[in-house]
Amino acid sequence: MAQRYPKRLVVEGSDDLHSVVSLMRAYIDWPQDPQHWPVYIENGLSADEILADGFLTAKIKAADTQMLGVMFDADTNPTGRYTRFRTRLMGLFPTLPDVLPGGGLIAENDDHKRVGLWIMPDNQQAGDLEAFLRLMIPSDAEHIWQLSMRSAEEARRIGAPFRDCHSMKANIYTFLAWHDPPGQHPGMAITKRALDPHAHCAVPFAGWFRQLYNL
Amino acid sequence: MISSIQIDGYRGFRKFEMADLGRINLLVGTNNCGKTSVLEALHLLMSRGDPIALWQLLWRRGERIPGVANPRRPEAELDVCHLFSGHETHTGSRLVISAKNQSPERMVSLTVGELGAKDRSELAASGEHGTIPSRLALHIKGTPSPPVPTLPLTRSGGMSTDTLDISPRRPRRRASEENPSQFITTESLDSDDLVSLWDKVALTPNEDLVLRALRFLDPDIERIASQATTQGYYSAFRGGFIIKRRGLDHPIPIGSMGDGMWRMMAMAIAITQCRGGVLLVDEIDTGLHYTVMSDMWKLIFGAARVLDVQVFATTHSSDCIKSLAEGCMDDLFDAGNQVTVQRIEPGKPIAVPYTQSEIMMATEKMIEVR
Repeated sequence: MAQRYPKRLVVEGSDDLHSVVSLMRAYIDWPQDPQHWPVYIENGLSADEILADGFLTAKIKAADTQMLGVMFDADTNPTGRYTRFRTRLMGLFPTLPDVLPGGGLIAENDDHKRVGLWIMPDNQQAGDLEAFLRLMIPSDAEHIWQLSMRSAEEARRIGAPFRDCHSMKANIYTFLAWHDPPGQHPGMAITKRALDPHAHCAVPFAGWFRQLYNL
Repeated sequence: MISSIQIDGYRGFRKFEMADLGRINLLVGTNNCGKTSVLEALHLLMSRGDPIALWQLLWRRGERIPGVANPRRPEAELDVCHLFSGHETHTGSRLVISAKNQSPERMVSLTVGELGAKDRSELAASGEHGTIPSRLALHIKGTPSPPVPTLPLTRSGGMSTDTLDISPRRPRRRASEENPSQFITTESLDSDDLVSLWDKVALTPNEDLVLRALRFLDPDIERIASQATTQGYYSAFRGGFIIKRRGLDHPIPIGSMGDGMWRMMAMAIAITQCRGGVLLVDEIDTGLHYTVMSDMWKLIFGAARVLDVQVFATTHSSDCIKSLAEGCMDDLFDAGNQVTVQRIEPGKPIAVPYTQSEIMMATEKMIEVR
């Protein structure tokens, strides 16, 4: 019989996946073997694909799914993305609030199915995973962060091709390029504490996650 | 079309609802969750509680009363207790099946109650009954009115062929003049049933539909005909039909062609005979290779739309669901919610319905719906 996963999280990319795992490892027991993870995490879909007609409802209706968490970037329009999320799920969760709570959404229906949503970075502002990661930079590394930003900006000025909307990403990866070892992915950076999993922004996320999945 | 069905007290369902139905409804769920019971309930509803439909359901499941007095006719008594949740019959045992949002609304109820004095004296007077009737009867009520409102039960709580005036092995259901229902079990229809249905199809425009169905499996089939002698000997076999195949001078029996051919023919013939009603197919993928399943859906959907038939089918097969989803993606079924998948879960009072977009998304993203 195929393994059943009652607790599931859908995220956009592999950076999101590894960041969540490393962050939550700072709070709860989280085994190395993905088969034994307390939550089954799926990645590889864009926010638009996650919000396409039929996807979220088909996911939550699966017989083995009890709790479905969803995490995606706000990008430029956190309100619009939440509205689409709400529209998709109103039929199954009629009590979803008009406005996404700052601490993330958790809702349960009469069928005892639970859905959760966290829009990066903080359920309120425009931005993405990298905006969230930026807030995890320890204060004693703030001067390196400032230099990373200036360097990326300078690189762009002299012809680096990254797009405006990816500035934060460029800044973060510049910052991570100067750590030991250089160029680790965000998940590893959290594990190595180049990014602080107990930072001010991370605490509510961990709280949302633990409450959603009863962990 | 039925948009939702309620089943109270029938077999494993104390209270159950299946809603948001479309023209094609594929029922999925684990073994023993009640998929076949839902088909049976629909069959009872559409046949207005016809005792012969009831007899066929019990017979098919082998729900006989053991050790019945008359050894010469051991099959003559079937146990109605299995129809009711809890497998018990006593005065007041009741099951109700109703369809909502259908105009006029349809309902049938079966209640175990006292047999009226008048019915008892009539039964006693007729004196033809080998099995002694009890004081109990099944009272059948419904909208539209049932063909038989009272069915006397035997002392063992059974249905007896004596009170039905039928042959136990081959009861014929009364042709229902309105909203008919055809129930294709996992064994398909047998050859007697098929031949008698075929008689209504031969030389009509529907004949072409049946031929097209068979050609999905074998493009060389040119013609199909029923054989004149089909009674008795042929009953238990897949006899009764011959086909003309391109390149062969002699007709060959359709029984030579494999399970899928028989199954496809049964579905094609049956759907032509339930105009305005329902086609019920238990394990629709039986005998069919996955490569012909989308053709099968194409045929079923096309015929269902033209003949105004609503289809309810069960499956365990992911290929079957996938082929239905692919049909949706190819816009085979037109826009709108014409297709649903309904998952029945043991102990849950409501089926989980999947819309057309959910069915497509589940297939595309490999999300399990079963």
